[in-house]
Amino acid sequence: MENLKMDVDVFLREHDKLMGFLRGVPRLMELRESVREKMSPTPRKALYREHSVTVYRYDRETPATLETPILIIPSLVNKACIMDLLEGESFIAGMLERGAQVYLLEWGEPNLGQQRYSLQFYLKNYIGRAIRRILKDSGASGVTLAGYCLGGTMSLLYAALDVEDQVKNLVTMVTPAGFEDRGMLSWWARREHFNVDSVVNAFGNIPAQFFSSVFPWIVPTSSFKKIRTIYEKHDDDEFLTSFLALDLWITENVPFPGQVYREVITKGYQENTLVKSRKWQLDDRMADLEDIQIPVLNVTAKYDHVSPVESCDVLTELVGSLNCTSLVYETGHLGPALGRDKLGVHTDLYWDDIQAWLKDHD
Amino acid sequence: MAFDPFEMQKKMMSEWEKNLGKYIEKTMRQPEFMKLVAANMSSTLDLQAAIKKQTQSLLKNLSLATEDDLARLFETMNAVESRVLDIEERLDSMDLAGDPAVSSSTRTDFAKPESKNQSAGKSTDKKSTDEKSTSSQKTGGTGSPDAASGGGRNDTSKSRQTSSRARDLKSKIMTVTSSRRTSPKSGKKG
Repeated sequence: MENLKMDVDVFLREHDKLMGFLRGVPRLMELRESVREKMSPTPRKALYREHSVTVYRYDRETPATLETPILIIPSLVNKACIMDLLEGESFIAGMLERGAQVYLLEWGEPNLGQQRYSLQFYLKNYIGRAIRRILKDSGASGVTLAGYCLGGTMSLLYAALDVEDQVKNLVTMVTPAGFEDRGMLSWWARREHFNVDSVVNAFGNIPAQFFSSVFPWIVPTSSFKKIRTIYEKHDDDEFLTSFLALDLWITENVPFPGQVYREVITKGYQENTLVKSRKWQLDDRMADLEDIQIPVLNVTAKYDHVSPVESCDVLTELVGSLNCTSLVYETGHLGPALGRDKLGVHTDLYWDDIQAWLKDHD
Repeated sequence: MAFDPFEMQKKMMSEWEKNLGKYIEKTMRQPEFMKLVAANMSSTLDLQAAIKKQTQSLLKNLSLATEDDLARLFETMNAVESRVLDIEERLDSMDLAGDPAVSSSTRTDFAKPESKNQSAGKSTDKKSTDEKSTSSQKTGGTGSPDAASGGGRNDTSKSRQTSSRARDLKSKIMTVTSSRRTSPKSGKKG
């Protein structure tokens, strides 16, 4: 009899949970939209704009204690707001709190004219100008280039080409330097599976839908997991805000400039040029990682399924600098940007470590 | 301990999800599967390319701008925008090049080559000259003639400076535009 009562209780509890979830669906949709307004919370000003690219300077209430400003280069695939997702989950705010002057290069959505711009153009024109402007704006003699994911690979190449010694330090976060790994992206992008030329020729700039239809297959059951998580936590607004913000970021990709995509797939994924030769041939310049003699901090994540740790870890072996620090954290691909460990719990560890390194190399 | 069917269902679902994930990944790792995907993608892209070609030819026949035309237009606009930013940077670096006095005289010289005496006469702080000019206006133009004429000269110089810069800018924009016009792709179309 007692057991029957408990069974009924369990049934009623699950029934209530399900009904609560179903009733809460419209509220969830509203919450999803309201979360959008909470994203990128840190106050900032646009320093300048060029084509789709905008460089922002983040406001500081007190003078920076670190002399060298940080320029963050995000990936070209997703929106830059991952670096400043929400209050308490913002790498940018974390660095501001730790005394740095932070700038962000936001790639934006490339226009039709940018589809033929090469990787060299992107490095020289956009990152180059951003650094010059930041040096003028801050009065500093050099910048710390901090790249995330593919933005890290671009920062790496820029640092290799930096003849004017404007890059003082290089921080690469979950940055693939080797592209032949156990990851799904590496498998899909193989020459025998993927004809990049036909994709670029058909689309010009690679549409965002292309990525949003492909990326979920990196973890095939991610959609199930998403629904299950929302069901379990549908009455926890704080959790949902964070979860939905991340979901918005994941699902809302941006178009990828065509020619740069062609070069990244060919030179990176299909030729694995950096690991094989330490070099990357651009239009008329050769980026040689041996030329990177500045201090390098390489941050990698042990449970990264986008840029597997072995692809990122190899970076410190490839650069010429003898001053290389490698930090491996027990987290996923977005852990260093959000300050979250593998269980999703907030931690100050990553940003404290980065700040300590920056202070040592200021 | 009572039997909780929902807990068991959760565990089952979790196991099912894990196995399904493994199965899908294993399938995607099969070269045969990837061959199929590649063939499917290739035919889709071929179709897309064919549609694009047809649309372009239709638009050309209707004398409407094609995507390539728009891309070229955007490239030109981008080049102009970049060039303006380049010029802005150069002007800024000219400002930073020397001390303010040297810099201001360089600017004046750039605007209009005049005798050094005239330049020296105008070397009064721009702000104070403007203030003088404003005060003379406030007093119904009864300020000292020197101040009034000085202000006037300075204004002319400024406008010449601006027009000279504008000319410079315009000529550079024209260079960019003309180089785009004579690019091989535009040439073919013409």
